[in-house]
Amino acid sequence: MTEISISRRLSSTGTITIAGRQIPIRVCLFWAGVTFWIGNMIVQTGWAGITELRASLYFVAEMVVITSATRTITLDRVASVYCLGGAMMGVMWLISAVFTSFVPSPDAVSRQFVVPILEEFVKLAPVVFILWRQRASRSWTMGASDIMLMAATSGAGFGLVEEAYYHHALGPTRALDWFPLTRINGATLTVGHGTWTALAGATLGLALLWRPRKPLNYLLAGSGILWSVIDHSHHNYGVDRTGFSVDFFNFVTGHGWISLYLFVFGVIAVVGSDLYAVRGMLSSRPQLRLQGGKPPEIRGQGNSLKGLWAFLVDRRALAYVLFRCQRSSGLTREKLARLATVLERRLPKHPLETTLGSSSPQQSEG
Amino acid sequence: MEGYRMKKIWSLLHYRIVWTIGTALLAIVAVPAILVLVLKALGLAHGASLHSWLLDVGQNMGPMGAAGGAGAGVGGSGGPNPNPQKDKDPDPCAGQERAVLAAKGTVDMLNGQLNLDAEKINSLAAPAQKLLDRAAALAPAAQSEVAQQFALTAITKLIQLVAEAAGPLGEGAAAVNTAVGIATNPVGTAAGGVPGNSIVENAGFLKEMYQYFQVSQGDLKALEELCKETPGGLPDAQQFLNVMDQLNELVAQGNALVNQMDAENGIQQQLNKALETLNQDEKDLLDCQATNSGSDASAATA
Repeated sequence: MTEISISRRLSSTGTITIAGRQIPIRVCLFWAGVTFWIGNMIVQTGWAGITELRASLYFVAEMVVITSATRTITLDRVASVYCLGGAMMGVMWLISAVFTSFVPSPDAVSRQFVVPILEEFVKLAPVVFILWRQRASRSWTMGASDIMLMAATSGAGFGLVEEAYYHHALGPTRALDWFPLTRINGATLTVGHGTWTALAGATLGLALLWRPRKPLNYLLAGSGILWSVIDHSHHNYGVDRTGFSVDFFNFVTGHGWISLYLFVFGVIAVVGSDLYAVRGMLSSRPQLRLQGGKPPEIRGQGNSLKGLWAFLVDRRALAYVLFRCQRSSGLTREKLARLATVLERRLPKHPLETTLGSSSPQQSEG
Repeated sequence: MEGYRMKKIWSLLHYRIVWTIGTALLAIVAVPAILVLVLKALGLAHGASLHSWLLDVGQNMGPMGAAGGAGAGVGGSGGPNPNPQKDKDPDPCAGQERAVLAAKGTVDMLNGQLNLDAEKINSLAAPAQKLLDRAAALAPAAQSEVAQQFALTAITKLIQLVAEAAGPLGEGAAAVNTAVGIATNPVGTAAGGVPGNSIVENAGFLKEMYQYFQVSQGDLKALEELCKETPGGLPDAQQFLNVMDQLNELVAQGNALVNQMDAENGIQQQLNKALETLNQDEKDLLDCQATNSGSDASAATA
């Protein structure tokens, strides 16, 4: 007989004991919530739901792999943000219902412009919330990849149920082989919620990393979401419409294909920028380089794979803080320099002499 | 003639304004023309939009689909990892560090202000010393002059003030004492009367001198009147009086500065409070570092 009891540890996190195993309540909440979310979708949409779930997870997995050399956020965080994107879908449905009460016609032009704007901002909201909440220090240690990955994940979570419903109602559509979340309909390519939000996250991440001067920073940060709104509106507005305005939209958005190119370009820029930041840090701190693929001895973890990964992630966090520090001034620079000192203090280092023997450091940063 | 015109027209191209106007005209005419042509071509290719993919959550999903969002929200509040190395704040003591830095900044600022005032006080000490020396030198002649007018009381107290303030100044003070024949306290309340290098000594000196002058105001007034009333004047006594007036003014300035530092909510008090705060913040930081030193695990695992 399975014994289930609830206990509380000294910490604020409770646990549930199932068959002698203590499972944190937060894990139980996660699986219960996800089961209801996905289960409900599959019950409503059947096989279409499973297909869309696979496409959505494939997209997230692709993004995780692409950013694996530059990200600092955990897969735990990725899963949470995916769920938060799903939650935002529910929020958007409620907002949409309120909007419908004011504008009942589904073909109203206002709807086809207002809804895309709302949806794009709502999808990005979890990322902005996380950045704001951790603005004291964690956000400064994130690379552009982290922000793009979180945005992509939130967008994918947001679009999951909608795309499943669409698939269920209208049947499957063609997609790019390497990008199953896309839809090809005639000349038009729809990149989907995940890609649009990833694009918005990419430009936001680049702006937060490079910190260009005003107003360039606002322009760069907002350009991604602006483009997403335009392309999203292009799709909604173009349904069952003809004429100059539709042709103009098709021309501007390249029938949706420009979004794909911008996304690819954005991913390259984001990963490239993060790698550049890490390279810059390593050139001034050769004692943090790996030697023979091994990090310095890590706090009781030896040189295990887990230890190596933890070292790499901490090193990236330091690189991003230093990169931002170089491009800041005044109080922000002081704050970032302090944060960098704290992060660097934590990192295990090779003895400098041995490292210097194998590389020639360029003292490029202070 | 024709060649000349062509040459003139050609030379216009060297002006930037001509290029700007030309570009603007071209843009006004050409861009819309190109746009219309492209749109026309697109319109010919497909007069109707070829897609029907409406991305609108409210349109595509029923309430049951949206209800799943509640589950996603619950899921988002948790996480799949039973032992998450949370994306925690990399520096758990960042708040305490900031507080220490802020307190240090306040202490530095107040110290700077205090040093500025101390410099001002110290800068008054040397002129005061000179004036004291001068008063001591003038004292015997002035005393002798006043004695002839049978009004020794007024000047005696003033000379006593100089003698006490000057203290062991040396020959000048000794000469005063001998000349007037008064018994002075060699260690005087003015701490030997010599403004030293220390701010404490200088401040004490100025404060004590101020108190002396306060009680000697009547004598200064009396001497001033005596100088005015005596026919032909009392030149030595007047000189002595002038020096004493200058000294009085200097001492009043110094006393105001000292009071400003020592007042109830003066800089010194503020500095004391800031130092207390700094000590407390440093203690909090040490406590925090001690508490977190064992849980300094890596910020992330995959």
